[in-house]
Amino acid sequence: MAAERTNPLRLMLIGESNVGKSHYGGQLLMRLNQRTYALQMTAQPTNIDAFNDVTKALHEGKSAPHTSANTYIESLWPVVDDKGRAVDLEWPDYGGEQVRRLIDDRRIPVDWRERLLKADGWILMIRIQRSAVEDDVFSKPLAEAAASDPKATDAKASLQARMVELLQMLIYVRGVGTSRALRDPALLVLLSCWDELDEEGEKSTPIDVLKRRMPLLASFVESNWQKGRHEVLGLSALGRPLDAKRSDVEYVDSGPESFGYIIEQNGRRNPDLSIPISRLASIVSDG
Amino acid sequence: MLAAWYLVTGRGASPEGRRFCGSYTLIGWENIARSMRWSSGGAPSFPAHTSSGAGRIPGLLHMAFRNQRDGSTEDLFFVDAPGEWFRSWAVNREASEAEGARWIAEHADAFLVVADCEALAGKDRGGARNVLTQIIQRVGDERDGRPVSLVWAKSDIDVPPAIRASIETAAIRHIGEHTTFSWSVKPAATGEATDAFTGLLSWTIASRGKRYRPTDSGDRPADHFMAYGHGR
Repeated sequence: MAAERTNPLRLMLIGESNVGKSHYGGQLLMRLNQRTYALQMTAQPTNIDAFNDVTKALHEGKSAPHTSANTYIESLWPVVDDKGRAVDLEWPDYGGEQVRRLIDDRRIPVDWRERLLKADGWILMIRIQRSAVEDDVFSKPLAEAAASDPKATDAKASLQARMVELLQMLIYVRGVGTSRALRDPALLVLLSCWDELDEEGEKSTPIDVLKRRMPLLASFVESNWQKGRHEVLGLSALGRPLDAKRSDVEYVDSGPESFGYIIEQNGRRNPDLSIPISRLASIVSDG
Repeated sequence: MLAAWYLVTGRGASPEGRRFCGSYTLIGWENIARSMRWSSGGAPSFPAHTSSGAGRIPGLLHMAFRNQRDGSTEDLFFVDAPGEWFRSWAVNREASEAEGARWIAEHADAFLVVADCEALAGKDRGGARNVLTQIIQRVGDERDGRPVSLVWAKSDIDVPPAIRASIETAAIRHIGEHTTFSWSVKPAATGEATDAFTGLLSWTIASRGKRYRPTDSGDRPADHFMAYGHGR
């Protein structure tokens, strides 16, 4: 073991339910263990229990069960990057309801606050195909606008407003303020389930998709983080949709490691699912 | 108008040389904008009338922009106040119902006087003209060198030329120097509906009256706007 131990790289993975956090964690673990990509495991982690159900389901060609709402497990993965930098990657798995509650209750629990304070980088995961600016009177004008009934509306804020609100809360708890653009923590916006975008995903770069589908969030990120301290990437952890009950034969035969990809900043597809982590590690260590 | 403003910002429009960088009142913006979206369980409509209620200080909506030139942030506060306040303020500056309007007149850095084309073309257009003229006179009296803009709202509706002319004359006579904008949610033949808003927003953020003094906010992680449940 030539690689020298350095401080752990603590990443905060932030995403609501059903954005694919567990699937990505499981696939990432398998990629790291293959030891052929940018980031490689230097030793078998002591405990991979958190992802056991996920890897088992994927090997059977099925989607993994939903992570229970109150779970929060951190695994420690000893990895080395392609420049020989050794890092202890702390990778979390948890039920996304916890993030929804942060936003809805506007309250950050103590354990979340501690994680936010010590994190070197934040990864914000968004299931991009489910996010689009809703049609309003500007995109789809009316013949006649009627007077509104305030009671007839539902109380759901648009997804991009929720994500901006979430980031504002996290920045506040971190105690940094945004009078000047932020350096730390580095931010990586990961647009997940990229395969659901179909044709749009083949023609666009991740930042273009974010600007088109969530312009308010794109502005917020670009104007509050310094250049080079934030990045937007695409992710398809599974490469295709899987069913919880019906087995995908190709998955079983070729193995889950043959599926899934990252969309790099320039729009190029890359099967190396460790890229977001190695990018974030490099941004953090450059600082 | 505020709702429409938020929606075009949410579509990525921003004033010249600036980009959206945050809002302490996102939920407030969402609440007023919701009725103009198609997804709210039916066709969109204009937002409900702001009720005049019992409050003495208007609701404030906040939006911050980062200046692309020097990286500074600029915070805009919009008041969402009921029209009745301004109506009584125009008639009697000291009226008790006009307390909210007096507060606004004292603290505002710029005024947008909105001419509702629908009302000025409607059955009660005489009354609408009267109220608007009184408001123009009051604003002219109170502006004290602060920027004023006359905004023709719902401008796809034609206002009778004589009424339009009398409003314009009143604005020149009482307000003096001012800019004029028109907007409608229905696109004009000449351009997108959002362009008018971007122009108006650019004017608002760039306007600096002689009384304007910037507040240096410094780093403000402990800002009181962001009291997220601490100390409860």
